[in-house]
Amino acid sequence: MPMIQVQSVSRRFQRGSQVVDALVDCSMDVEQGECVVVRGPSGSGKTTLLMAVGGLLRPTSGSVIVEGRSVWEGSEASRATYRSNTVGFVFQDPHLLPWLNARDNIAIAVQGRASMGEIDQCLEDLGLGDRAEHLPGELSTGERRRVALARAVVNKPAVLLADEPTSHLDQESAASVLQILSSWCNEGGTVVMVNHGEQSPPCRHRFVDLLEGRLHEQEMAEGKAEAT
Amino acid sequence: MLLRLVISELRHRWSGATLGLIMIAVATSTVLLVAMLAESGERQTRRIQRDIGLNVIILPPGTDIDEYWMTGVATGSMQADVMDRLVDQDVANRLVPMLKQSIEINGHQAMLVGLEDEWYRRNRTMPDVFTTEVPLGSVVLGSAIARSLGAGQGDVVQVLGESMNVDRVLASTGTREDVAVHVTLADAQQLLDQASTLNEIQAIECHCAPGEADPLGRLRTALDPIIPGVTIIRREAAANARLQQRHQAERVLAVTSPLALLLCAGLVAALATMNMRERRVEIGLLHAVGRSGGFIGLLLLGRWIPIGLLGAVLGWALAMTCATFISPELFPNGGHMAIPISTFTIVLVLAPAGAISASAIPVAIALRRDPAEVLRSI
Repeated sequence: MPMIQVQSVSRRFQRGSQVVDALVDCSMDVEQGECVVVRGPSGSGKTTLLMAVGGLLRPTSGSVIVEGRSVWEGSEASRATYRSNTVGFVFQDPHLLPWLNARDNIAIAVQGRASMGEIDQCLEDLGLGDRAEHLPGELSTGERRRVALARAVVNKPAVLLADEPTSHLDQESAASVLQILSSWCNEGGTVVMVNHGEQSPPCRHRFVDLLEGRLHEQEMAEGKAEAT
Repeated sequence: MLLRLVISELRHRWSGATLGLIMIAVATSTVLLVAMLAESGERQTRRIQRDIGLNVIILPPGTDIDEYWMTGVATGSMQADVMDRLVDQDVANRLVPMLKQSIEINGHQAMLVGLEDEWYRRNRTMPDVFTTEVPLGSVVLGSAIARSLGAGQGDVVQVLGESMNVDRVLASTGTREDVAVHVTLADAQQLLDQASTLNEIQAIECHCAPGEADPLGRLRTALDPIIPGVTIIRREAAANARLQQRHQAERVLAVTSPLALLLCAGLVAALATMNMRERRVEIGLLHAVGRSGGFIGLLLLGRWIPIGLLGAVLGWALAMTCATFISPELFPNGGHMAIPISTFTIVLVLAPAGAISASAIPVAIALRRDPAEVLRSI
C-alpha cells in the first residue's frame, strides 16, 4: 500500500462571489521512501495540496490516506496527533517562534518523543550546533530555514512535507537544504516537496506538475547524488 | 515547559506585557481604593458617632431618664453577666459595656467612664471601631479635664485615691467626653467598688426597624427576658445619619468598582485581541506541529496569570501609596485606610482570573481560525 494516497481531491475557495478551484480532482500515490517534487507556477495549488495531505486544510471533496488512515475522517484531536506523529512540515517561511531560541523552536514540536540530546544532535547534523541558543532574529535566512527543517524532522516522521524549502535562499544554502531532504529520503523517509523552480533534491525523485489545480505525472528523474 | 514558554513570550513582548500589567495594576488599585474609602469612611462615621453617642443606649431598669440626660449617669445598675446573654441575642452587632460615675479629681468635676472592648455577635469578627482603648491601670483623659488637671501624656493622676498613668489625652469633641476620664471596665469596677456591675451598655448596628412606628419593639422583646424593665434609648439622628452614610458608601462601591473592573476587562480584552493578531502565525504553526488546542489555549491564556498576579501586587502597592497621601486629607482626625488581608487575597485571585476571562473570547476566536489560512497567507 502506498504511504500517501491522494484520491480525487478537490479544493474550492470562495470569497464573496469569486470562486477559485485550487485543486481539481487530484490523485496521486507516493510510496514509502519516495521523493516527489510537485512543480507548478504560483497559484497553481501546490501549497493547498501539501496542506491537504498534511491535515491542515480540508479538501472540498476526495480523500487523503496516509499510512492506511484517512486524514480527514476523525476528530480535530486525531488530526493534531497525525500532524504531530506522522508528518513533518517545512513551510515556505520558516515560521519560527520569535521568542524562542533555535533549540526551543525545535523542542516545541517534540512533545516528549525526542530528548534534548537528540535535539542538539539534530542541530549539530544541520550545522547549527553553535546556534542552539540564538533567537530567530539572530540567525540568517538559511539558518532559520535549517532550524525549521530540524523542527520538521526531529520527530522522525514518516512523511516530510516541504513547501518551497529553498525559496529566498542563496545557492549554497539551497543546496544544503536539498541535501538534507535527500539524506532523509535515502534513509527511508517519504518526501513530498513543492517547488516553484527547477531545484530538486540530489536523490532519485519523481516530478509531478500541478497546473491550474490539476496534477500531471512526469517521469522519474535521477538525482545528482545518486548519479554520482 | 508551558511556564517556560509563557515567560519567554512575556520577555519577548515585554512592552505589551507591561501595558497589561499597568492596566491591571490601575484597575486593582482603583477597586482597592474605593473599597478602602468606603470601609474607612464607614469606620470614621462610626467613630464620629461614637463621639456623639452610639445609636442605642441600654440602661438599667428603673433609670430616671431626666436625670440621665442631666448627669450622663444612670442611677441603677446591671450585673455584668448580662453581656453573655445579650451577645447571644439578635440585638446588635456591637455592644460596649460601661460603668460611669461622676467623680471629683483635685477639686474638678469629671466623669469616670469604665469601658470594655467591643463585644460582637457570636461567631463574628470585626475590626474595632471604638478607638478609646485604655490600657489596664491607665487613664485616657478628655481635653477639658486634662487641661483643668494640667495633666498630659505620661503624667500620673490620682483617681479616687489610686495613682494612674495618663496614657493619652483626647482631642476636644465639644461634648461631655471632654470631661471624661476613661479607664478599663475592670479598673472602674474596682475604683467604685462595684465588682461585676454595669450601668450602661452602648450598642451600634442594632437590629432595629427604622421607619416603623416602634423601631425598638424587636429590641425590647429580645432584651426584656434578660433585663426585665430595661430602658432603651435610640438616638434617632445618629442612627439615621449612620444608615444614610452606609447606603451612600454602598452606592459608591456598587457603581465605582464594577466600572473600574469593566474598564479593565475591556482594556485587557483589547490587549488580548492585539496579542492574538500578533500571534496568529504562531497559533497556526503550533497547530501545524500537532499541538492541541488545549495546549495552545493554555499558552495564550497563561500569560495573564503572571501579569495578573504582578498587577494585583502592584495595584495593592499603588493603592497603599495613594492611601498614604490622601488619608490625612480625608480623615484629619486620625482615621486611616487599610486593606484587610482577606481583601488582598481575593484581589490576588481575581486579578489573574479576571484577565483570563477578559482575554478568553479573543483566544477562543484565534483558536478557531483555520491554521492553513493563516500559514498560507504569510
